[in-house]
Amino acid sequence: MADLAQLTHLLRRTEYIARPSRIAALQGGTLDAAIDDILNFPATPAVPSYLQSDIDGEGWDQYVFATKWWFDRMAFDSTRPLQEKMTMFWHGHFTSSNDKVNSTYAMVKQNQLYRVNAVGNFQALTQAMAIEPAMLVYLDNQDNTKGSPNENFARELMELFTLGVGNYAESDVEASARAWTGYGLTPWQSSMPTYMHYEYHDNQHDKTNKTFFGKTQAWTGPQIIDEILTNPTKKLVASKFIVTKLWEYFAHPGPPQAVLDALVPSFAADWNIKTLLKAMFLRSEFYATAATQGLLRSPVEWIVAVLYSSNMRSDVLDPQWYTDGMGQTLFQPPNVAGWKNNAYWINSSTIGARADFAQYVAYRLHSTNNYNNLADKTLTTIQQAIDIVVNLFGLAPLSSVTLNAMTTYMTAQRAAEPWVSWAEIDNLLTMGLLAPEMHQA
Amino acid sequence: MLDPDISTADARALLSFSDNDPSGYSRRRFLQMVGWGVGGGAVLGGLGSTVFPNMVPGQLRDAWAAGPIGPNDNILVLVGMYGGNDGLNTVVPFNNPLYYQYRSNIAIPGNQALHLDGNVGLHPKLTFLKSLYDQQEVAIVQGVGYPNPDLSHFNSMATWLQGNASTQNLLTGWIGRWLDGLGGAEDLFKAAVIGSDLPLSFVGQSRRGIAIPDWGFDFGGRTQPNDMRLYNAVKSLSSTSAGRGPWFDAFAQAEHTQIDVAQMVAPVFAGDIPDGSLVRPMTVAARLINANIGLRVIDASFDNFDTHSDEPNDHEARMEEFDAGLQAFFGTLDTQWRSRVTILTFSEFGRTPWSNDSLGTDHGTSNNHFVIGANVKGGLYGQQPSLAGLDQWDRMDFNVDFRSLYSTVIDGILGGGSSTVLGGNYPTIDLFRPAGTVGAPIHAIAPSVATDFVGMVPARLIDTRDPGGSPIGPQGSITVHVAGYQGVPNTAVAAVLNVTAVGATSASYVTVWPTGGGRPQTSTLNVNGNDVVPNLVITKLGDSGQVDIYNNAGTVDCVVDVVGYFQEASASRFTSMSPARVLDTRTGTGAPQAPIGPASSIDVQVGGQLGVDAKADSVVMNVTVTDPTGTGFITVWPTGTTMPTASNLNFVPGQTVPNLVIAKLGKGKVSIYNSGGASQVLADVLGYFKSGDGARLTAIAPARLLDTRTDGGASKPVAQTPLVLPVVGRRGVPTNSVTAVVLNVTATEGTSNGYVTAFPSGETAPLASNLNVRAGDTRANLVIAKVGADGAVALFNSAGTVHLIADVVGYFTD
Repeated sequence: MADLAQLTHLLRRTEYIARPSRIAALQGGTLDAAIDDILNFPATPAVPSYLQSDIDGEGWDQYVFATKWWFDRMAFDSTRPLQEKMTMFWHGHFTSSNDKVNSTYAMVKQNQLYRVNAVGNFQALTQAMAIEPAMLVYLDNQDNTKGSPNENFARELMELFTLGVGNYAESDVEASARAWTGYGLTPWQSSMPTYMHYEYHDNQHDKTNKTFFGKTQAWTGPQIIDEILTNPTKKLVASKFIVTKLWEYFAHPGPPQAVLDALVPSFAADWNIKTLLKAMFLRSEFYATAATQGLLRSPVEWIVAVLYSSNMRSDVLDPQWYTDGMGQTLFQPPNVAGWKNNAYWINSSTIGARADFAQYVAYRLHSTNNYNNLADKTLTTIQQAIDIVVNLFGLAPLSSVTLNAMTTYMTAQRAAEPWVSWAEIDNLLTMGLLAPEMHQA
Repeated sequence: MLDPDISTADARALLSFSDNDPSGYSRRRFLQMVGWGVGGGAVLGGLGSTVFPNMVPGQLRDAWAAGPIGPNDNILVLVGMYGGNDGLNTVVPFNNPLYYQYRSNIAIPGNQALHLDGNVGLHPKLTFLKSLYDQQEVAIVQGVGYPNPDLSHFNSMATWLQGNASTQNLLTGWIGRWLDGLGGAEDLFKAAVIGSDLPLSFVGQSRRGIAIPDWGFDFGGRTQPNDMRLYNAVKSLSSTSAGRGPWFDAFAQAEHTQIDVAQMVAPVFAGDIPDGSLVRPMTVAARLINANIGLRVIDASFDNFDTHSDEPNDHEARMEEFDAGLQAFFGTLDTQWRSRVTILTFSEFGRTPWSNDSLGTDHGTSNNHFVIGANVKGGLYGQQPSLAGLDQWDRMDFNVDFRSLYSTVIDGILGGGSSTVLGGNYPTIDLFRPAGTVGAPIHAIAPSVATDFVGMVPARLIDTRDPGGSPIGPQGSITVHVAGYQGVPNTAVAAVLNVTAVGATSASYVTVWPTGGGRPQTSTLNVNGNDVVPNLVITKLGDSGQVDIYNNAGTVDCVVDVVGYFQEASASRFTSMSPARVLDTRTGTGAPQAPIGPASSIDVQVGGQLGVDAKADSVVMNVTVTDPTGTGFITVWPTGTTMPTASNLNFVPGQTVPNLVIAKLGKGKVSIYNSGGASQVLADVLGYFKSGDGARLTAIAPARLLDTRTDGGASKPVAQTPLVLPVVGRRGVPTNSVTAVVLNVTATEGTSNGYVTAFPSGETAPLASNLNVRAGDTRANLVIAKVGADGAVALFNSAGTVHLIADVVGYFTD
């Protein structure tokens, strides 16, 4: 029998929310079995046909559609939401932004690559993302040619995607840039339904010798990735870089040394992401207080919890209009380093955007559902009204501070307006959505 | 191919706060704030901020001040250009052929740049900024960077946002640490960022700035009783620690802050706000200043500067938005704030001097930045790094540490404390006007005209060592009245000055130029430090008949004597001669064969001698002192008048020192006084002024014609083959009728002792010298050089190699 507190924490971190149906399904088995279940994804469905090509004049509509499609997959449509959470991880790691790529088709195609390979092999995923059209555009490798190297991709490949700054020399960047010359896009033809296709241009590839990590040979682009991930020294650096980032994504900032010692060498040995995640979720440190209290929900994670608990799909709540203000827009990471966590999400401006969305959701809740009992003191006591909200948003166990704040509010509100008040309903629901319990991951 | 019009990468570096540090507060502070103990008064990180003594959970925020700033407080507005702005296409070195060689596919044509002087101009879209520059309200600091730059956006931006001497990955930023150091009750409204993220720069050890979305707040900004009840309830979520860990409490605290901020700034967002990625935040910034809620620092930044490709279109759009943002800001700002607000630009790095084949530039290093405001002394500061000898992917060196920009604004307008905030001492740049003064009104310098000369008995205009005076500071300048003073009439349009630099505390250069015209990239004389260096100066007069004198480094005193002036009305005109020695005390030429003794003088007949017209009023001579036995100075003045308080050249024992002298004659003679020791004195006449026929001078604002250290794409020192320097048709010198040009020639990095001679191109070099070269030294001298038939002047170097720099200050026409 899995411990309920551990299972709840595991589900909140891997599937956004500890859904009652999932707890019911997994509680009877062991933690090990629950983790296997969480990691065992069904076949990945194809992306909606509307997103399978760029449609002239509908770029914006396709972009909004893609955003809602992905939010709904996270909140409702995926039976194993960890696949979406890992897709989001790779989206923030191997970043590309529609701001520059300017093709929803290419962004969704890249998104699907990350989805299909979400817990696959890291080396294979790195090779695939390098020649994905969205990446070729985003980091300019389509312009990287023998006569005119462009180092943008080559630099970020090591700095942000695999090794971290300080683990390579400037000359390695230049050698890698030359190795990556010629990996570009098919020249556009008007007859093509969509124009972004990877194509290798042999005549633009620099075939001369380059010296990379001290080895001189006629490096190709894929050989560079293989070297980074098989070089006995560098692969451990890369493994630590990725293990740290994943631990900070699921557990808390600053992984314990024991965790790194246990996970880094084995991940570097086979680059199997699924094996790595299972080992992470089995660590006792994953269930320690440092982890359970260690993360805030990102805007996307909070929105997913809001969609799910309010049982309103993104077509109803339109979260895409609020994400920019909260600081996290799907398909538009702020820069090639992606998003960070915790304090990154909280300042007066981003909190204001969360509060705006909370008020809108509260209004939609009362207008599409009957929450009269929240505000009718003949039907519910203050405590009962609070319990309704706590259950609705999964806030239990409620902290005494939040309970006091809600109680004080309800007392004052009922004294001021001793009738059934829409304001009271809206405000109590808003308080539920703004309670820190709703924002702790 | 892709649509070439796609936007560039959204390169904004969202360096916010430490991942490990709740709310960006220090953990220690936070624990104390939420009542978890830790001793009060602890000092963190050596940055001097006492951890808030006054934090009482649940009470403090409502009590925080929000009120008018002090009557003498100034305001800093930071404009970030995220992604790495291309400084070379922002402040365009249109006079540098290397710029066009390196950037043939993206260079701004010289005739499109908005010229600031003869060398640099602004991007064509920066028309409003140019108008501010013309009002002398824009300081352009060139060559800003830092040692060992990293080409990554994130590390580079971290460096800029941290702004600390330490290379460690600090968790605080420079504005945050400035907030830490303010002391007193914490004020939520001292520093704000317009936007949805709070950059690292605004996070301190114990205090932080606030973020205000550019669309304003909905939640928190209303005032109905129902809303207020909700706001009070949400605020009470942070009344005490919930015991759920620091992030839980930090989130509650941030919700409290959000409501306080929203309530305060709600009125600012009433009414329309024009859109635009910088126009909107700059409009909001100006409104926040007008509201006077206590803000001293506001960040209004924009992005998309990472122009790896398609730069001509993308960068032009950025420049257009920058200019529009400035215009929106000053158009919104109440005039009462006009002299109390300063704008400072920043960007994580500049870009490569070479363009790439994608019509873009890659991550570079040093950059140009703007300091803008009515309290700013407009002009060019710092120095553009040399482009010479750079290969593709090479980066430029830097000349000004970016932390000097920070110390300049911290000490200049934010009340001081830069060394604490920055963790080290970075010299400030003297670019602010004295408190309470503002920029000169809009004006244009008078056009240059042909003039005649009137010689004078030398007279002293200023000596900064006099009581009440003070030396010129580093990158500082003084303004000297000329017309209307010491007998120079108000009708004078140019003057002949002898400028002497005394007591320099470091190697530096001094530039003299017409007041109001914007300081040119030229130099008048060079000092090594602790030496006394004079030079003759012919300069056009600027506003109100004044000239400005700039000192680049250290401090230096200045002595300025006027020896004559030029006016449009008829007076004397110039006739140039082959050099003729009218005096040599070593041989008895022109005077007894004996050195001039200490504190004594001789008279020398010049008029009517060796081709000098007997009716000449004034003569132009190179006067040289050699083998002096003491330290002293030489004064030349018209015989028959009282010796004035003035000097022409200065020496120490054993030196050979020349200087150009323009001396009025008294009955055809000059008197020459030697103040100390016994000195041998030589004089070569180069020309004379007399009434009637001769050439007229047109004085112009100084402009650089030659710099062999960088011109033509490489460092090319001059050896014994004369260098041909075309002058006509360049830098304001017309193509027709020019007989001679007035140059200030500087010799530097000479390998041997020798001399430099200027002569008409195409003729044979005469046995005469204009400038003595000493190995390793830097010396300048004024030269009146006849122009050859090909419109050029030849410069001959007698020994070794030397670098030559030539600035033109005027020309003669028949």
